[in-house]
Amino acid sequence: MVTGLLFISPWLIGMLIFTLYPFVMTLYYSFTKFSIVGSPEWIGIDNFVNLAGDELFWKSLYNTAYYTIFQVPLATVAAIALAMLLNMKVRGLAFYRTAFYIPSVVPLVATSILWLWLFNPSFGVVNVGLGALHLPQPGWMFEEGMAKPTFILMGIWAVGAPMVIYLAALQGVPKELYEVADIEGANWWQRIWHVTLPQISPAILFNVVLAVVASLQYFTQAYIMTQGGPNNATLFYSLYLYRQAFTYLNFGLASAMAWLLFIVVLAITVLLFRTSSRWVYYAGEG
Amino acid sequence: MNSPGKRSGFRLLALLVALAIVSSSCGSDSTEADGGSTAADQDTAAVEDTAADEDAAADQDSEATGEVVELVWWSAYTGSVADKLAWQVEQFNDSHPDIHVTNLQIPGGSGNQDAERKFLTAVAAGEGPDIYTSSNPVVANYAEAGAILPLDEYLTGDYAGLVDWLYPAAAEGGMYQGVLYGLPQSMNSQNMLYNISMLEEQGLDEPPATLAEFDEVQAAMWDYDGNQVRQVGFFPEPSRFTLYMSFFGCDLNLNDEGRYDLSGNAGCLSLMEYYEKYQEYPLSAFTAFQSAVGAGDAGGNDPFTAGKQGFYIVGPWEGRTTIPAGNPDMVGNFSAANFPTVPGGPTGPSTFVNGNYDFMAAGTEHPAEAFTFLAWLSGWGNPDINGEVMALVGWLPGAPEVSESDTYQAFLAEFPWAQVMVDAFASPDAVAAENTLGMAQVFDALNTVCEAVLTGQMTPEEALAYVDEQGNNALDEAGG
Repeated sequence: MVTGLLFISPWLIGMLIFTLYPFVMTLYYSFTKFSIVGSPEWIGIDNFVNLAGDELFWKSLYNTAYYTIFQVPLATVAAIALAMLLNMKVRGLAFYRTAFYIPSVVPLVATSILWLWLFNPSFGVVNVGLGALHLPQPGWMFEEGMAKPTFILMGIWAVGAPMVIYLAALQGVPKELYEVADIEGANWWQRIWHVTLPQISPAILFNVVLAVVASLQYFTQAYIMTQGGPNNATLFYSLYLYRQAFTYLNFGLASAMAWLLFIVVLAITVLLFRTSSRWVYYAGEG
Repeated sequence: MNSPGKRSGFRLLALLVALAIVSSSCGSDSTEADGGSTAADQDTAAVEDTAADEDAAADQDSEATGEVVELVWWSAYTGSVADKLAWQVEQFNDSHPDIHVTNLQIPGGSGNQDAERKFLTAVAAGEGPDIYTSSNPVVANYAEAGAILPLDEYLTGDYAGLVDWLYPAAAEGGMYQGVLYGLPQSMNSQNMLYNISMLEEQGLDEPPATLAEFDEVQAAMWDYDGNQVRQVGFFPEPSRFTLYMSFFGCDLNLNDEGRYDLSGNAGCLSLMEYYEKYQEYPLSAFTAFQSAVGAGDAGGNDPFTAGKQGFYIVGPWEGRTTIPAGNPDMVGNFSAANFPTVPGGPTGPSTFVNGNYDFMAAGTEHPAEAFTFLAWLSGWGNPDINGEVMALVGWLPGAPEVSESDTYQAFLAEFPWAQVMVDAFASPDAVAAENTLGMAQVFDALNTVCEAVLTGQMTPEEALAYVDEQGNNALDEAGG
């Protein structure tokens, strides 16, 4: 046992110092007034009370919840649909798989700049195309009502990572099951609903948990593209947390926000795992 | 059931966690003892007891031993500015044989926030620089946190007249609660640039002198078909409220009770009502246009640089560097003037003053030498060198003597329109926002409400009340 611990001690020490220690300290800081320089001053639950009365805190929570509620299901459906398409035997399959995966490896900053151009309401390619078709041309991220849906659309574009996992899961579905379904006269939808989705449900659980965690921490694109605007429509929780910490130097309040986010993420993850026995099928289990 | 081996493992883990927590506690205590207290504390005893004594000792030591004091200066400049600052440091090192400064350019990142983060964590870890350059909105938070040191202690002897030597607004921008924390590195004074050919298309040789005339002319310059904006006269951008404040007689100073009261300021209401007038131009259409031609004036092509905006409130750097680099065709097609007279506003030149300041970082071991360098960087005793640096980009010097230096006058001779900004900077109506612990929140709130007013979601009165609420909440929380 001791020998084993010694072997993993480099990781263990790193984890203790750079993960566990900051993690524990932020809990302490969440009950303090702390500006990173100097000593924290204990203020009890004042940070949490202040947050409860902070309009922007609730706004950022709403924005993040909105994004998560729409982004996670839509991205999941898109990733599964793409994986199914890329699981078909067609010419140029390797090219398609590469093309659909590439958005996932493009740096977020480059992606953000690209979308800023594409979605420019006046001069962007998207609206030029919509205009040519005589369709309405929204203001995208420059318009308060469309800003969050625009980010959701952008998120769906970059579903390469879960798509690859779904593709691997699809290739593990026994062909015999589809043969049986065919013999039973199942149509296309019934094959998907009764065979494909149950068989890849462990991968769905895995990806949904990751997607929920990532959505609740959504930050970079909003930081680069809108800085929370217009009119705080894209002031996501992590962006507001960052602003509290590094613009206002309220590290105590930011720590309180981080812990509230952690509790929410933990609760949703536990909920997903608790309900998974009803919708996730593990081969080999009774 | 746990085996003895497992129990040993958990004990080891528990021991390591305990060690980490104990060591961190020790760290906190030592920070407190070493001077990690608040600005107010440091203003008095800490500075007197430590800084002055250390200076005297340091001076005596370096004089006695002939040792050269090493200073480290962090700033976040790039390109030709960084090269020019390196040259400036060389000039200092050559003229001060007992001090050697090393300038380290750290990555600034968006809004300089990468640099701020690095500075704060470095100071917290006791590994900070001696001198740090940042914009003045950080003054209050950094001073209160003890990340930067007050400078009043050093304003004696050769430096007794230093504050009076500065432009009043430049000095004010480096102060917090009446105590000097920063000396000007490079100042911004922003006034109106106008597009000459667009003005001539309206049959005018001179820019409008009154707000009513200005409104009429700028409206005629717009090319907006209800969908796309292709050219604008003027648009009050949400993030630029502060730049227009002085023209309307608005300021961000706390009232006698130490509270934000923009609602009670007729000038601020007048400015917010002016924003309201621009509801006829959709904000989303303007920002789309601005984004398409390249937003911002930090090296990019803003609509004015692109020759598609009639009037723009900006500093001399727009004409000194941005336009020549971004659109040489615009060189010679613009000039500067005072913003038109606003009813209730000042009748003479005015401007909003902000800029980059040099601070003495907490933890410096050579505060006296650091102050010598800070004063020198502001142009004290070397107006020509400082003037040459300011002229490179088109910044405003922090002191009239530097503005009058041969090097800066050469810049003004080459770019005579910049004299408008210099005159506005020297005027009694040049205003800097009072540095407070709620300043950043007020800036963010102003951005939000200006968007809301421009899109008809808030009245000007509601907007100002919201800003007051956000600013005062921040003051309360900081004091609580």
